[in-house]
Amino acid sequence: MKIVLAGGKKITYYLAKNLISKGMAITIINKDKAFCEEMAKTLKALIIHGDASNLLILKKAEIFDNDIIVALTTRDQDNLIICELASKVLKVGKVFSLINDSENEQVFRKLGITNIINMSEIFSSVIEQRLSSYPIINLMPFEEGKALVIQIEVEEGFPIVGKMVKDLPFAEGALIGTVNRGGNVFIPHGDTVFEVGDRLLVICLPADQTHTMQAITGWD
Amino acid sequence: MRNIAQNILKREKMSKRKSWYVIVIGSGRFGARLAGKLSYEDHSVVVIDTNETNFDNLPPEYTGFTIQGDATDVEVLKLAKAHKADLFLALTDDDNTNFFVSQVAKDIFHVPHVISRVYDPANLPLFHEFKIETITPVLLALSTANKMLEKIAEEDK
Repeated sequence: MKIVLAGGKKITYYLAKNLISKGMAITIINKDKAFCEEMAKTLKALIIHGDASNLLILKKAEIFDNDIIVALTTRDQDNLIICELASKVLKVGKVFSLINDSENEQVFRKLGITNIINMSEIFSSVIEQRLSSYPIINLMPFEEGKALVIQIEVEEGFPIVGKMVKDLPFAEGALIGTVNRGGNVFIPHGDTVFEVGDRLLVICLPADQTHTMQAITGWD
Repeated sequence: MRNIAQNILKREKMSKRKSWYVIVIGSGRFGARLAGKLSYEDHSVVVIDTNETNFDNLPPEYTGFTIQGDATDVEVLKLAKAHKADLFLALTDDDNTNFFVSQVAKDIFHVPHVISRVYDPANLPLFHEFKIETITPVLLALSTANKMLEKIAEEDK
């Protein structure tokens, strides 16, 4: 099994470096000749100079169905063509794509490319988390928004403080997955008592979100 | 006066045909002229181009709309009411862009007729695999050249 990195510059280099150190076989395809020469000198990887959105170049990489291809160009239209060629023509099983315009995520999904790295979305959610002084962070929606993972830091005055899991008025559609208490992460049992400063990872259905948050924080 | 008469005549001729809602991506020499022709034939046309100065290529008879924006941005296609289009023409000078917008027009906005310009004939199999109709200028030029050469050869006999 090898990983083919198509397009991209810095991100490709660092990703390749990281994956090679984990013992994976890497092939890099890039349009930029100077970049290819540089990579050939610095990385233990197969480097192919050429346009990855061209089927002939992709074929040169000898990608098989158990290989992985990652489209990393800065243009979504190029990434789409790389993914479509790889998955539909070369029958590559695992196709990943970087998405630059976060609105294109939906487009890629509808066209059958589901392994998506939505750059701007990831950045903005990380920034939001870091900026937020609010104790509740919506980490990410799963299964197209049908499940939510929420991180909550327990503050003084929350009704949950001093209570056991089994005493919480939780709906069917919610559960506390992990508790981070001073860096020590564990999975709560029925008799775990919550303390101020606990960081909880809550999994819930959107319909139960309001009710669950209220049970933990006491806020309306 | 003559102009009005001509217009009435033209309209009568056209009224037999349904008026289409057409979206043209790329206002270069090809896109702009085709948009002008369709507009002259009384179809409703919207031309989209990233570069506003490209709209200068549109002929005087063009009476449709223009949108300055990147057609690979779905919001721009929504603004152009792509879901209402009868015909979608991807005519930029970049095959990957044409492929992307054609796929989006076909699979997201369900436009019944999607035609894309393909620069590099090597890309044709991909477009055909995804059932996108194509115009390949290189092949058209080749076939015209062939006809001319055959004619010259015929005259030379």
